[in-house]
This record gives sequence, C-alpha cells and structure tokens, in this order.
Amino acid sequence: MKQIKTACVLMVAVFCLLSSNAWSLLITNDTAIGPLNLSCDGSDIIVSNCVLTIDGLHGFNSLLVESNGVLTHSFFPSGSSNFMFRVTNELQVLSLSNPAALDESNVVGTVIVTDLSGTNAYVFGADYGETNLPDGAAEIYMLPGSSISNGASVLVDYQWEEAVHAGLDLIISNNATIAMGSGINAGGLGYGPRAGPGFGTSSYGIYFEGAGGGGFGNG
Amino acid sequence: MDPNVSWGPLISGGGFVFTSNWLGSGGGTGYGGAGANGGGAIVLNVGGTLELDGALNADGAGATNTFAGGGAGGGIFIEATTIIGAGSVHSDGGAGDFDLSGAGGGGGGGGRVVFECLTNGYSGVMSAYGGPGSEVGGAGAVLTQVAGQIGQLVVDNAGQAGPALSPLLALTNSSVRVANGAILAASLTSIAGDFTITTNAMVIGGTSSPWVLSVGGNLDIQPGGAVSLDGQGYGPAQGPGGGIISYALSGGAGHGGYGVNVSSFGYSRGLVYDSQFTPTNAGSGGNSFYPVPGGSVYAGGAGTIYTQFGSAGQLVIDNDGQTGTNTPIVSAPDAGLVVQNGAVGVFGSPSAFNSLVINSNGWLTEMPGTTLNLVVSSNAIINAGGGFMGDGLGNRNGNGSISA
Repeated sequence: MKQIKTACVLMVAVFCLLSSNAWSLLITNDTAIGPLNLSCDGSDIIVSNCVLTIDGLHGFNSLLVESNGVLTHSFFPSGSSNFMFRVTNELQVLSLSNPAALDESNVVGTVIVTDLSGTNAYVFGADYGETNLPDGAAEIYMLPGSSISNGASVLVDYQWEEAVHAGLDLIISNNATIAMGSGINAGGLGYGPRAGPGFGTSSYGIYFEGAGGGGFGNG
Repeated sequence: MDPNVSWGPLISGGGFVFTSNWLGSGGGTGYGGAGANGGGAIVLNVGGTLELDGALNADGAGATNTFAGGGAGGGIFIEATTIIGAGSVHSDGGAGDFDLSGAGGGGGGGGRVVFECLTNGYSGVMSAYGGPGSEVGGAGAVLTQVAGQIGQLVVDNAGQAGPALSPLLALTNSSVRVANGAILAASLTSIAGDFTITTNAMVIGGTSSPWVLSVGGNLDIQPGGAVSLDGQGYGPAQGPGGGIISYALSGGAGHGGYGVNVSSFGYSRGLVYDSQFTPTNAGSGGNSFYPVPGGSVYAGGAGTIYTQFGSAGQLVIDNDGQTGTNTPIVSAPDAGLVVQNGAVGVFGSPSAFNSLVINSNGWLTEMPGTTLNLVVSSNAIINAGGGFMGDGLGNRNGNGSISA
C-alpha cells in the first residue's frame, strides 16, 4: 500500500530542487495547515506573534519562528486521525483479462473512469466495476459489454482515506531558526488518557489511582 | 511510546520513519477522572543549520483529576547539518495527582529526544525526566549523535528516585550515561563507547542468563551507583543448586557455596556448581515448605570472588561474619587465596595456591574421608582466630612462612 508520505516526500523533493524560487510567507495570525494543504510547501515560512498549527508531512524552504511565535500540531486522542485524499487523472489500462490495481489503497466512494480526454465518463456498474481487496488495495475491471475498448488507457478519479499521525513532521531544505521567546510546543498533544502503547492503568481500590503513561521510561 | 523499542542506527540518512510511537501515552484514570495526555511529537529534518534559542517542548501533561496519572513525555527528533543555539528541549513526563500521604497517580515516563547532526554547537538544556507522582515516572532518554563520532545516550531522572524502569534493548555506536535516580533495565549486550553509572543511578541486568555486556570504552560505576542482578536468577527450587525439601524442611540454594541444610534427618541443602574462576550461571532458588524450626537463622556458605589483574589472580571467600555451610575450593596454583569472616573453604583433592591468607574466623578443611593436601608456593599467613578445622589437619606443604 502506498502511503501519503511517499507522495509528500516526492513533492518535498521537487520543492527542494526549486528552492531557488522559494517565496516568503509571513504568518501573523493564528493559522492551521492541514495534511491536505500543500499550498505553503516550498516557501520561506515565518511565524510571528501567532500560533501556526501544522498536521501531516510538509516541506518548507526555510523556517523562522520569531519571538512570541509558536509552532504546534493538533491533538488526536487516539494518536492519529483519518483524512480523505483525492486522486485525479490517474492513468490506467483496462482489459477484459486483468483488473487494474489503483495506485492508492483504502478507496472510499465511487471511482470515476473517463477516456483520456477526460470528457467522456464511463458508467460504473455497466462499463466497469471496482473491488476493494481485504488488504485495502483496490482494483477496477471491465464488465462484459463495456463501452471501453479492450486494452484502452483511461483516466481515473477517486478518493482514498489515510490515517495521519499526530505530530509535527517537517522537512526544511535550508536553515531553521527558533528564536528566543518562541518555540515549538507539542506538550500534552500525544495520546489521550488511557491511550497509546504504554498507557497508564488504574488500581481498583477504594480510590482509583492512575499510573503514569510510559514513554521511554515506564510510568 | 512503546517502552521496549530498540534503538537502531540513528544517523538515518533519510531512513527515519515517523510513526505514532513518537507520541507519549496517556495516564491512567484516577478517582476523580481521566488521566493526562501524553506529549506530542516534533520531527524536524533540516538541510542547513538549526539555530535553536527558543524552546522545543513535548512534555506529557500533568494530571488535573484526583489521583489520575500523568502523561508520558513525547518524542523530539531533530536531524540537521548543524545545530547551534542555547535554547531548551524537554520531553518530560507529566505529574500524577497525589497527596501528601503518597497516595494517588503516578508520574508519566520520560520521552525520547534525539539530535543527529554533522556539527553540534548546541549548548542549551535537554531533558526527558520522568514526571513526579505517587511514584516517579522512569527517566526517558536523550541521544546526541554527531556523524562519525560515538553518540551519547543520557538516561537521567533529575535526582528523582523511583521504582519505574527505563528499558533499553539495543543501541548502536553510542556511550551510555545513567544518572540521577534513573534505573536502566538493560537488555542490550554491547555498548560501543563508555558506560557510566553515576551516584544514585542503577542498571538492572538483562533477562538472559548469563547477561554478558561488552563495553567498548570505559566502564565507570561511581560511588552510590550500582549494577544489580539481585533476585534475577533461577526461580524457587530451580537451578542446579536449587534448595531441596527434606522431612518437610526447606533447604537453601547453593551456587558458590552450599545452601543451608536445615533438616537434621536428611539432605536438603542446595549444591555447589559453576566455575570458580569464570562463573556464567545464575543463582538457584531456595525451597519452601515449612519455616525453619524455632525461628532459627541458618546461613548459607560463602560464595567466591575471583579477581585477576594481569597474571595475578586472587580468590576471596568471605561470609560477612556468618557461620554457615562450606564453600568448595578448586586448586589455582597461580592465584592467592583469602578466607575470612565465617567462610569455611573445603578441599576435595590435593590443591595448590600461590599464596594463602587466613584471616580471623576464616577456616579451611577437607571433605569427609579425604586428607587436606595444600601446597602454597609463596607466603602463607594464618592470622589469629582463623585456621584449619575438621577431621584432621592434613598435609600442609607451604614453602613460605606461616604466621599466626
């Protein structure tokens, strides 16, 4: 199964190659950049007198967190949260003899298949079908009597779901500065109560007494 | 985080994979409600210089509900070409809620901090302490790794002493420093650099027996520091010298010395086994049936301590002043023998030592039915209150002087 990280790392690599064309982005109001929002990637990003919340993998050309600026990430009680991603114009070849495996797994909703011009949509259930396999992979296949020519190349649009881990995961191509009076704050943004691989348990006396969560050291 | 994660090669070269294991886990529920959140994760891969004069914080949250547990520290992973600055980096466990009697929630365990770089000019603070609580959370770990150099792993609990452990399964290319109340449960078998255990810190050896640890640099166990395998040998009545039940009385286990034979009717003591000079086996377990009669206390035989610096070895048998059972001795012509403090060394065959010192309340004897035949090639000193005992004196052929 291909991961979101694969795509993002490739994208970050492209930004690295284009780093000489980086543009500055000054953020002075509280802002959130989600895992799907790659519009700021590749920039020289400056955080000043505000809180910038970033989720998912992102890449910037440089990073400056000025005094009173805070960089953080969201809190997901279970340690991750599912996000929907969209794929457009994925090239596939359909034939009567073999199904075509989609590039991404955990496909949600209907897969839309068009011809190479993108203007003529084929009919799901009449021209083609889709199967989600037990391992999460997805395939599309031609149906008997399909209007798709055997062996034709087609374009495929679909949505797929990926769990994004809580955490700040940044690739900075050049320099990063966390100035005095600023910071990156992930305090209390890990697993929620009684969650995580090392979650604390409770005694069952008259008064419940909760054990601390385990990190590298046991709680 | 999974407390049993192994540390692999950490100059990742882009191979680092961020997972939710870098998050701190949440604290347990208390009388008043849910525990606290764990610390989050900060992962920065910086192609140039990271100038860090501000703060990186992935602490576990403190408990706010009565008697709830604190959250564990999260993870901070920094990879940069150069790191400079004098900021602060914390991945500490959160505090549990507890009262003055010591009841209440435990502190969260410390998290992980990793700095990897080609050049390190960072001079600020870094910590992954366990959180305070009814019991203090175990220390987390701070690893600084500069390419081409031995890394430095620090497990430090800020002077807080508690029973919570800091497990470490494996570590590549690093020194290890355990300090200030931290208790490292070390299953690893090698440390490439130095291994330092400071005052008020402890290392508990691995679960395998024998636990063999290879230290590539210096081993420094400072005063008040300790390595402990106490109670980690064979279970009750287990092992080659496991205690035996005889006529409803339970014998003590043997290893270097015999266990106690508490039955006057039969044989219940644990046997002696393993090498006197290269011991590799764990201690055997005692047995349990009825308590020993009359509340009497019976001491086992002394074990043996063998040290060798260069070619000069020394075997010491000392029973801490207790009168107990015997300690079999194997001949070692190149070594000195010291017997003292209630220890009773017993020979089963003609033996030789380079030198002999019998101190006060130290004794030598022979197995029943045999003759003590001991050759001492240099000096033999028998101090007041010690000497030979048993069925006979045997043949003493010491070539040096004997004083008493």
